[in-house]
Amino acid sequence: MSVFNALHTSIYNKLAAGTALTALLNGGTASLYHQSPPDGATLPYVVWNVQGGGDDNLTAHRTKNVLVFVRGYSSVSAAAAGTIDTQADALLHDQTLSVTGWANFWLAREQDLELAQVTTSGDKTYMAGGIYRIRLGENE
Amino acid sequence: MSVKLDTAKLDRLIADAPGEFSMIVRESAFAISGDAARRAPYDTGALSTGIHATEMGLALWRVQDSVEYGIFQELGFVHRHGGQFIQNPFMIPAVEAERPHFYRNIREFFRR
Repeated sequence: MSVFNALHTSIYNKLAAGTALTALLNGGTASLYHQSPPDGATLPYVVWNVQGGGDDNLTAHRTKNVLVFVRGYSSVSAAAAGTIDTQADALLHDQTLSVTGWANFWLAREQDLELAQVTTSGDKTYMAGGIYRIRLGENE
Repeated sequence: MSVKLDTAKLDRLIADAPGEFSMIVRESAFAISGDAARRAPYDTGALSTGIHATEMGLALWRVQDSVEYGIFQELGFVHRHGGQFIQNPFMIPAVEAERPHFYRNIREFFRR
């Protein structure tokens, strides 16, 4: 399994296990999307993606150092998006992921981000989230 | 017996640090700017050609774009026609790609 597939599976499993988070979403665990929700997906939902990073290449032992952007979207308010973000943060920051084939030795939030988008109908979509640095060491 | 502490190398490091660090940060700032421009989505070219690096102070540079929609490409948005979720991050990937080179340059300075 590629490290990306293993990483995204582990993030999904971590978020899906958070009932306080999934209870806030339109479709529960079905509203957790890697990279891109389906066109016209119903809010609120959570999206995550790798925002940057890669191999450390510091030693012969392979390690990964990637940034993952996890955020919640809501059509209700910035506060509603923030509440989703709070729950996601509780599941991720300073926690440990179970990544097949890799050991997760660092997981910490580094940046807080929020954004509002106005649609053509005048409605707003609110985003609140954070960028997490995830460091992995390949299992020997 | 007397002991003499040789601080010549330390003194030189202290003296050289401001100028050397400024050059290292400058090099990384331009590397990030160029890489971000290469990674940015291209339609009219307004986003990619507007990415630039500006010196803000001693060893302090800012790399930014020049269009209001750059942040939406970086962080993602729902397209108003069709509702597709679109995201084309360009700035953070460029920063992360430069990070190892920046650290290597700092390490090399201290090894002299």
